[in-house]
Amino acid sequence: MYEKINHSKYTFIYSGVLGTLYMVYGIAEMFYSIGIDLNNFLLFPFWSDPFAGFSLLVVGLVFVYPLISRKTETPEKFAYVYVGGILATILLVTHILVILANYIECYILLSEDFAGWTWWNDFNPAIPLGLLALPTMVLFYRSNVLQGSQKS
Amino acid sequence: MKVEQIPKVVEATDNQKEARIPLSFCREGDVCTILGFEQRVGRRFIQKLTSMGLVPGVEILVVRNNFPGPLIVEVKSTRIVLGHGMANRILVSSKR
Amino acid sequence: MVVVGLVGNPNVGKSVIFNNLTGAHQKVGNWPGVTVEKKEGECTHKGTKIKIVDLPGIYSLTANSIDELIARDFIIEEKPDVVVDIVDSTNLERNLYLVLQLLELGAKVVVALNMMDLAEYNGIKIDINELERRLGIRIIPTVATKKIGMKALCDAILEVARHDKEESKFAYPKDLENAFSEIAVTVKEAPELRKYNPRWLSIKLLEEDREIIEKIRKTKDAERIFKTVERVKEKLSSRYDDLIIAIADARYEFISKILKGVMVKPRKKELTLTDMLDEVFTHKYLGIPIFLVFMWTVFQFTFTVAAPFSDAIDLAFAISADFVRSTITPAWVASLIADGIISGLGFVLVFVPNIFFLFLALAILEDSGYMSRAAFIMDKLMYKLGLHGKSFIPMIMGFGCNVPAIMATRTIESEKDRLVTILVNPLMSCSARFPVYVLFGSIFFSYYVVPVIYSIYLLGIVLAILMALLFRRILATGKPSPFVMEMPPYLIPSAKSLVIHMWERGSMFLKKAGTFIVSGLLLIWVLSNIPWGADIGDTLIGALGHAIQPIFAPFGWDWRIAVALFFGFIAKEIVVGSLGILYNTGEDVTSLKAPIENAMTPLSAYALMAFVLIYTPCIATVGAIKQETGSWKWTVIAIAYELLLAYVIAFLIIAIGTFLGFG
Repeated sequence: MYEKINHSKYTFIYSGVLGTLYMVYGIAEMFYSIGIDLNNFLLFPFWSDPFAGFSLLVVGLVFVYPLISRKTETPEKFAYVYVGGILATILLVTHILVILANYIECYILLSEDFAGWTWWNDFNPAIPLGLLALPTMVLFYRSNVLQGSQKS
Repeated sequence: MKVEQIPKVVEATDNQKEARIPLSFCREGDVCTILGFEQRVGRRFIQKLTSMGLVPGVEILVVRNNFPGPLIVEVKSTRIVLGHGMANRILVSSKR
Repeated sequence: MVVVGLVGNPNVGKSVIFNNLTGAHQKVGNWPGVTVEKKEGECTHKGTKIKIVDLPGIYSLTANSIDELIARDFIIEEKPDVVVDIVDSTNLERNLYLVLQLLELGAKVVVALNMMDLAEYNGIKIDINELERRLGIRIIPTVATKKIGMKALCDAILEVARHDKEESKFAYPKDLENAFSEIAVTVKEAPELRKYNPRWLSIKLLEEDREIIEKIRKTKDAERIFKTVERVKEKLSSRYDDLIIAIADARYEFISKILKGVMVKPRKKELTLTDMLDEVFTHKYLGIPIFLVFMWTVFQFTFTVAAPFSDAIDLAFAISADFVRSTITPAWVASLIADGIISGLGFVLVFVPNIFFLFLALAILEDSGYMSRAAFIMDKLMYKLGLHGKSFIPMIMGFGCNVPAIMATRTIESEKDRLVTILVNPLMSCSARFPVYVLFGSIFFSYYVVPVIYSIYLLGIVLAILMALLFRRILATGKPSPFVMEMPPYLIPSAKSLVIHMWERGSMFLKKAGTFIVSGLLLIWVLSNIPWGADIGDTLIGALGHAIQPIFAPFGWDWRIAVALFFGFIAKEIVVGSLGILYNTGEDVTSLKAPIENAMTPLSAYALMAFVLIYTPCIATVGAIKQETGSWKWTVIAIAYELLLAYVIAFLIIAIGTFLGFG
C-alpha cells in the first residue's frame, strides 16, 4: 500500500533479536513475580509486579512480529519496529522515573519505608533493554514517517 | 493509497462484473465503492454516515478489518470506525 | 455589536480559534433546557464589539442529535450576523458538506480554512480565490495553533456582517429544485412558519426531518403541506430510490464539481505517522495487550512516581499542625485549626499529586488521539458485554473521577445506551476512594496490598458489567446501537493543551476539596467536640454513630466507621479524614494503624473496602447524574441501587469469608 522506506534488511534481524530478549526477560519476570525464585537470573533483578514482566513480553512480541508475520509489504513491517521502539522508550522512561521518585523518598524525604534502599533495588531489565532499543528510535526519527505529522 | 472522488456510479450494469457484498466482508487493503445501504440502517444513521462522507458512489479504503469486529475505513481523507453491525449493512462493490 | 456563531466538524481546531479570538473574555454556561455546554466570548476589532458563540462540533444540520439541534436553533432563532464555519483544509470534501447546509439554512457564512500548515506539509494546494468565487462566500486561510489569519478572519466577519447576503451558488438538480419550489409555495402560506426559509423547510421535509415535521404538524396548514409533500415524493420516486441519499448525493456532487481544479492533492505515497501507529495499535491480537501496557504505565506513573510529592505534602501538613498546636492558645482554637482544618485539608491534599498525574496521563491519551483507538479495540469486547463501544472512554475516565466521566457520555447517541453507561459508571472506582483502600489495605494486608487493591478495582469492573447487563434487560434496549466514530489523526499533544486539560479536571477536584470536603470535615470536628473535652464516644457525633451502627453490626464495623461512611456521602475523600478526627490521631495516616487494627478483622476490612467501592456516589457525582440524565427518577434509582448492592455484597463477603474460615 505504501511507498518503500529506505532501511536495510538488517533492521529486522536486530529487531528480532531484541524482541526475543524482551520476551525471555518478560516471561522470566512474570515467573518470578508469582514466586518462582529466579532473583538476579540473567543479570538483572526483577520486580514482583507481574505486569512489569507482561509489558516486557508485549514489547518483545511487537519487535518480533515482522519476522513471523505473513505480510509481504515491508513499509508496514517497519511500523512494528518503530512502535516497538516507542513502547520500549516509554517503559524505559517510566522505570527511570520510578527510581528517581524512590530516590527522592529515600534521600530527600528520609522516609522510613525506604531505609537501606539503593537504586539497584528498583532496577529492571526494561532499562538496559530500553537502551538497546534506542537505535530503533533513531531510525524512526530519520525516516520520512514524521513529515506529515502536526502538533495540536 | 489515495482515495479519489469518482463520478457517481450508475446502477450496476450487467457488463460490469462487480460483487455486491457487505462492507464487513472486505479485506484489509481493499478499495471498495459504496453501492447502498440496507433498509434496516434507519434514517438517522444514514444521515450520520452521509455527513461523514459515506455516500453511494464514493470509494473507500479498508484499513483494518477485525472480523467479526469493528472496521476502520478511510474515506475522503478521514478515518472512520464502523461497528460490525453497521458494516454488515453497507453494501459495496469490491475490486478484486 | 456583531453576533457570530462558530461552527465546524469535530477536531478542526474550533476551540483553538475560539480561544484565540476571545482570550480571557469568555463565559461558560449551559444551553437552556439541555446539558450541553455553551461558551460565549467577546472581542473588539476595529472599534466594533464582536460577540462570539461557540456552537457544538457537528457534521451536519439534521435533527438527529442535540448538538445539531442546538446549532440549528441558534442560527434560526438568534439570527447571528455571521456564521463562521471552521474547516479542516486537509479534509475539504467532507467539511464543505456542512458549509452547504449552512447556506441552505440562509446564514451568512465565512469559512476559516484551518490547518493550512498541515495541508502544505501534505502537498495539498488550494486555489482560495477561485473557491471563493465558486462558492460565493469569503474564505480565510488560518493556522489556529500559530494564530495566523485571526485578523483577516475578523476583517471578513465585519465585512460580511455589513453587507447583504449574496445569492447562493449552490443548486440541486432540476427536478429536486422544482420539488422544493412546489413545497415551498404551500409552506409560505403558513403564518407560524414565517421565520423559516421556505426552501430550507422543503428540503427538510423531503429529508423527513423529525423536528420540522413536528413543528409543521402543529400548524393549521399541516394537512395541506403534508399532502403536497407526499405528492412530490410520489413523483420523485420513479427517479430516486431514496430521497435522503439522493439529496446527500447532490451535495457531494456539487462539492466535487467546485473542487475540480481548485484543490490539488498529491497521491499519498508515504507511510504517515497515523498509518504507522494504527497498523500496530489496532492489530487484531496485539492491540489489547498494548493497551494494557499503556494502562499499567499510567498506573505506575500516577501512584509510584507521584508518591514522593504526596509524602512531601503529608510532611508539610504534619509539621504545620504541630506548630499550631504548640504555639496557639486557647487549646480549642489550636485543635480546630490543627486537627480540624489543617489535618482535614492535609488528608485530602495529600492525594493531589496522584490525581493531577492521573489527569495528565489521561489528557495525553486523549489529546494524542489514542483514546478513540482504545474504543475501537475494546468495541468487540464491549459489545459482547452489552455495552456500546463509545462507553469505553467514560469507563476509563471513571477511574479518575466519575464526574467528568459521566459528562463524557454525551458522545453516545442512543439515549438508552447512554443511560446504562451513566448508571454503571460510579462502579468504576474513582480516585477519591483510593485513600480508603490504601489505608485499610496496608494495615491489614501489608505485603499483599497491591493485589488486594487490584481485586477491588476488578470487583468494580465485574459488577459494572453485571449491572449493565441487568439494566439493559430491564430497559429492553436490545443490542447496543451501531457504532460510528471518526478517528482523528494522531497528534503530538502540545504541552499547553495538556496542562489546560489536566488543570480543568484537576481543579474540579481542588474546588471539591476546598468546599465540600473541608466543610464536611469541619462539621465532623465540631460534632466530635461537643461537648468539649468529653470522651469522643459521648459527643454529638458519637450519638450519631451509635444510632447508625446497628445497620452495620453484621459486618463488624464500629460506630466510627459508621459515621465515616455516613459523611462519605458528601465526598468519598472524607472517609479517611474523618477517621483521623474520630480516632483522635491527628495529622498522619500511619498513626491510624493501631486503633484500626484493634477495631476490626481483615475480613471486615475487605468488606468495608468493597462497601466503599459500591455505596452511593458522592454528591458531586449525584449532581452530574442528575444533570446528564435530566431526571430525578434515575438519580434516585442510582443512589438506591448502589446502597442496596453495597450492603448485599459486603454481606456476601462476610458470609462467604466466615464460612471459608477467614473470620
